Amino acid sequence: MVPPTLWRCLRTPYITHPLKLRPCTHNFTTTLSLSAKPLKPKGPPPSSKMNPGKQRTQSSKLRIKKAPIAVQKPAYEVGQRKELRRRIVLSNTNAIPVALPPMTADLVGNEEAAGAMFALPGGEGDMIVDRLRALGAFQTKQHWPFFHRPCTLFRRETVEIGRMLERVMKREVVGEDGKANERAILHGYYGCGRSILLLQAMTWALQMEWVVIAIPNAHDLVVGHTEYELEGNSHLWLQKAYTTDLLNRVLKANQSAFKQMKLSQNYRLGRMDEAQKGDAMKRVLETAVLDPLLAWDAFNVLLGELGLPGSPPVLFTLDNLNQISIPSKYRDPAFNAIHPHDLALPNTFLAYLSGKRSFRTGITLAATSSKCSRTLALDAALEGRGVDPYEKLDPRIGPSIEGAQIIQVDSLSKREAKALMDYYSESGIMKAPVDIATFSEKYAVSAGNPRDLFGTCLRVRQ
Amino acid sequence: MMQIREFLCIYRIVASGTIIFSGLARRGCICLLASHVPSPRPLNFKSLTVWTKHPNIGRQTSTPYLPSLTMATAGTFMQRCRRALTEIPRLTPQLTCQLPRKPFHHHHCPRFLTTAPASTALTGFSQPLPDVAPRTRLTPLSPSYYTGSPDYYDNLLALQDLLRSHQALPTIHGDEAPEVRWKTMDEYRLMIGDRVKPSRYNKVIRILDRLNRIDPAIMPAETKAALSLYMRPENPELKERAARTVDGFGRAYAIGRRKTAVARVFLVEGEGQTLVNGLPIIKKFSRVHDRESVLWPLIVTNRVDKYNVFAVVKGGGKTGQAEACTLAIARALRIHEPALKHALREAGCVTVDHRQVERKKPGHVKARKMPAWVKR
Repeated sequence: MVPPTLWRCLRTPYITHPLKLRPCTHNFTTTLSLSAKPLKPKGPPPSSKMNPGKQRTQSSKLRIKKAPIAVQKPAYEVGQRKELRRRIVLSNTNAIPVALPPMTADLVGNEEAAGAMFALPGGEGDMIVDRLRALGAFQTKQHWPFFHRPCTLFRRETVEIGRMLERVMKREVVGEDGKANERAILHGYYGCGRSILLLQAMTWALQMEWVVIAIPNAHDLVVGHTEYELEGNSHLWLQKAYTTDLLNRVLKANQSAFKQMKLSQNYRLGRMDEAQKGDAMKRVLETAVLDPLLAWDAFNVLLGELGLPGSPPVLFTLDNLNQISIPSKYRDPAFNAIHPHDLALPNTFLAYLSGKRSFRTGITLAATSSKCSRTLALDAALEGRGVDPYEKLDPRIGPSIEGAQIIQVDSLSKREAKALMDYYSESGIMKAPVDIATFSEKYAVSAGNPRDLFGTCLRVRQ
Repeated sequence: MMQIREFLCIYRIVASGTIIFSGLARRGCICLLASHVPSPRPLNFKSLTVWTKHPNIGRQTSTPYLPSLTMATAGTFMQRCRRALTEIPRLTPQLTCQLPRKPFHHHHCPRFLTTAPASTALTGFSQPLPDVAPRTRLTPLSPSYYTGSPDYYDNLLALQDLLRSHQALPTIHGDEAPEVRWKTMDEYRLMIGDRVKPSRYNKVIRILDRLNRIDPAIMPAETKAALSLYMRPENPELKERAARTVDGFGRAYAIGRRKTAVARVFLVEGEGQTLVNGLPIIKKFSRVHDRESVLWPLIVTNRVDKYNVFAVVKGGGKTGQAEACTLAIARALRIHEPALKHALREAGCVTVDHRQVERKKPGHVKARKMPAWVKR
């Protein structure tokens, strides 16, 4: 085929007039635009000869009605998933109810009760479970939804904690300043039941009308999700929003105790507010809960009042101690990671744990966690090792827990494991009969670890 | 009578009465030499039998050899076997005249277990010639003649017959069966006198193993004799493996290996405590699955609360270490209670898993993976 350019060469050259509009040509076509077909004149289409009305009716018959595109509803509302994730279900009506005695305050320090299951007191009008829930004592993944009502195992370590409560109550451990205090850290392998021991301590303390202050997860304090500000005097970083939240929970759990507490002196709350001498602690906290600016001062008022004679006994707990032994996610203006001990709340707790501050009557209880990155300094401190100068360990960690009793939470004894397995069996979640063979197998495989024991009891062997 | 090693098998009977041998014989077959036979007559009687109209040859050859063959056979089993062979109607002249339609269906007949002596028992010339022979032709005596390796197949079929006849006898588990060392493949080849493929050898060994599992209390003497033919002679100079025992402290010691981990285990009677490298097992193996692996031999035998385990394990990762412990504990447990071998084998604690990570090769990305092909 002959290319058309050849023919173009033979033609007379196309001279363009400078003032004349150039014909619109496309760069990529070889066909002259003038030789192309003229555009069709605008007008009615040839089918317009037909009856327009008829045509319309015909086409309307054929037209398929499209469904309107519905705006897809999100599967979850904002925050709904988080709420579901954190929801704590404490009962299951499908589970078989097991008749168990309640874990009352008269069991405190009772050695003979060790190795038996007890139900948390939650009868008519008894608000213990609700108060525990308010304190955040229950956690997800503690298998509460599998059972008819929350029950716990009375362990050797429970006896130890009970004895501690007893000692403080009877004021057997009074210091020189007339204050009776106990400080302890629960430490053990993963899933050994440290958080449950905290729960048991809280259960007893609430029943004995103690004031219970609980930081359910120290991770919330250091993870960098709450606002923080530097307080000039103490050079500590306040977390006012978190403190408000904490006060709110403490207030919910300790209504009756706070009702009876009267302020011993006037206090300044924030810049403007004042709390008068003789006011009920409950009223002070209720005002503080509404205003985050007052929260930290109110919290200090509470702690200060609890150190005075005549104040009720206190249980101050913190779970996941490891989290405040590693650098926090907060940053100072120079963008250095803030040491968790420079945050006001952890600092306050550690002051009580190390004995720098103390309640009039009280127990400070911390529990370590296994879901944390390595905390070599804390491990060394828990083992009582001195920090090796060649190891680059945080030198502030060791003194922060100094003097605290370390309660080693061990694996379950055979008796305790048997009680637990019987409870699982009676609740209907463990199908195999609890005979010697099954028991020894599951006890050996779980190595007496309560979390693994639950897993092995539920698991069907492949 | 002599054994011919190298040559001579096929012979022809000519109408005049002389026997002309032609072709080569198999190694190891028995050849008969008779002075009054016109020519030396190397015969592979297993291969061919003779049909002839001529009365003289048969009569000449049949009678004199049978007694000497009886002397040649060894063992009661073989005697019984030969007697059966000589007694069976197939060898009588009437039945040898059967129509060639179904020549190889002789399952009801016992077969030879060895080639040499039994084959001599089947001399075609031992048969009185039929009075009425329809035609003169050669019929293979062995039904396996056309398989290509008739010696092997005769042997296999004989063993299968033996097994079939003892099928119903009670058996014991292979782990409890008396330990025997069968002839090696080369020895078996010598015995058969033919090349035997490994797969065929394995078939025979499988049958022998099965026969060996017959309860020794009621094992028939015939089977015993048959099995003894296939056993390797005991070498007294070879030292027997010392049986492991529990030491003076009541400890059983064993080693187990898996991947690159090596576990040394001391097992003592106790109440179910486990220490691995001096740590409680939960500290060493935080996965439930690994702990279950370690204690598996004790779990399946229901001995968890009967023994204490002290293990030292080195090398490898968690899984390898756990499974090395499995093997070591299983072995140590067998020292305490040898009768558990069967249960442990069922649980997979006896067989060693020898697999290792395949090494990386030069030019490969991993052990086998090659770099992606690029055009330029």
